[in-house]
Amino acid sequence: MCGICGCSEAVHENTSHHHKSDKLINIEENLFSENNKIAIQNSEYFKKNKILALNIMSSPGAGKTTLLTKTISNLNKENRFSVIVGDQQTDLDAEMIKTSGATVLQINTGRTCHLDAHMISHAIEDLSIKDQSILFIENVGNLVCPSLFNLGEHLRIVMLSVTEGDNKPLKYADIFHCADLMILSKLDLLPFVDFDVKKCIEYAKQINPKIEVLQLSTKSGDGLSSWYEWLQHKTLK
Amino acid sequence: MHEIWLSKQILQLITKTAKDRKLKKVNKVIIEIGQLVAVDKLSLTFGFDLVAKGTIAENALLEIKDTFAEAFCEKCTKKVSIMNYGDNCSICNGYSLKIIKGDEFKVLSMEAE
Repeated sequence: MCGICGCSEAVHENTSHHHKSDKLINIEENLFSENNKIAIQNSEYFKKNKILALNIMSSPGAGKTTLLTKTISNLNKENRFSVIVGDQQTDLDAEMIKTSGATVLQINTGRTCHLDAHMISHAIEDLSIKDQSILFIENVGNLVCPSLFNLGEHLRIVMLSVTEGDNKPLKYADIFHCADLMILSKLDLLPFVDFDVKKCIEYAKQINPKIEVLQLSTKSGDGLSSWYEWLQHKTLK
Repeated sequence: MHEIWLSKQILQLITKTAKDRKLKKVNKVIIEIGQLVAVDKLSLTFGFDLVAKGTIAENALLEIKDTFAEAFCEKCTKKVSIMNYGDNCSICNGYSLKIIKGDEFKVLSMEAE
């Protein structure tokens, strides 16, 4: 009997395991193809309605929710913002962002560690996103998995707080490699931590030479105007 | 952590293929993972065994083929081998590298009866 699957007809040639009656079937399909198909549909919807979709990723606690709440509170004069926020549990983030006046939808991913294109496709059905507006997709706090999943977004933003350490771009290269913008947050805490901003930017550029960098603090307000200018510049017209 | 999600994708793909071809049992699945893909092979095999229980692919062997990573150096216009994102060019030491191989993640084939 075959020790691997327990069947009676297995043969082991060149240490590989197969069955005499087996047919070899070629598949050659990308495992992300299903996700990518839906991501393309999302992206077409965003383009058609001139919605700038931004996928914001970071480790838990880097300050994504605080930055979004502050940004929308300050800029939401014409109600131009919607937010999809992903967390494993609770709607605490959605409740906080709602105080800014944005339309918010919370996705609870349960045991899943990232948002995927399918979740976003349902979320955009439920949210009535205005034309020529900005959609922030706040991903699940995680520096690994979200990088693998295309959501159909225009741009990816990775946020890194100065309390996390300047070598994170090297340690979590995938997410920095696929990002368009790196935001260094909690700049007001720089005097209290050993974080070398210059070195961190060097590491990020080493992983991704084209990455843009912004530095800010939602607490002191430093750097927020550059972030608002960046958003203004990227807004689809 | 996302290996369970990926295991389910593999299962979905092979179940559909098996159904289309009226096959009853999948004994082996061969997949390709590029060196740069953030996937843990042990977790993937573990996850696949778990999600395949009670399905057409129960006890199927998941064979993983590695693809080494290669990049094109824009500065010295040559192909070089790399191990990770952020590695520099082994010829000019620069970082202007464009990945050309190593980020694949696909199901190549399966053996079924």
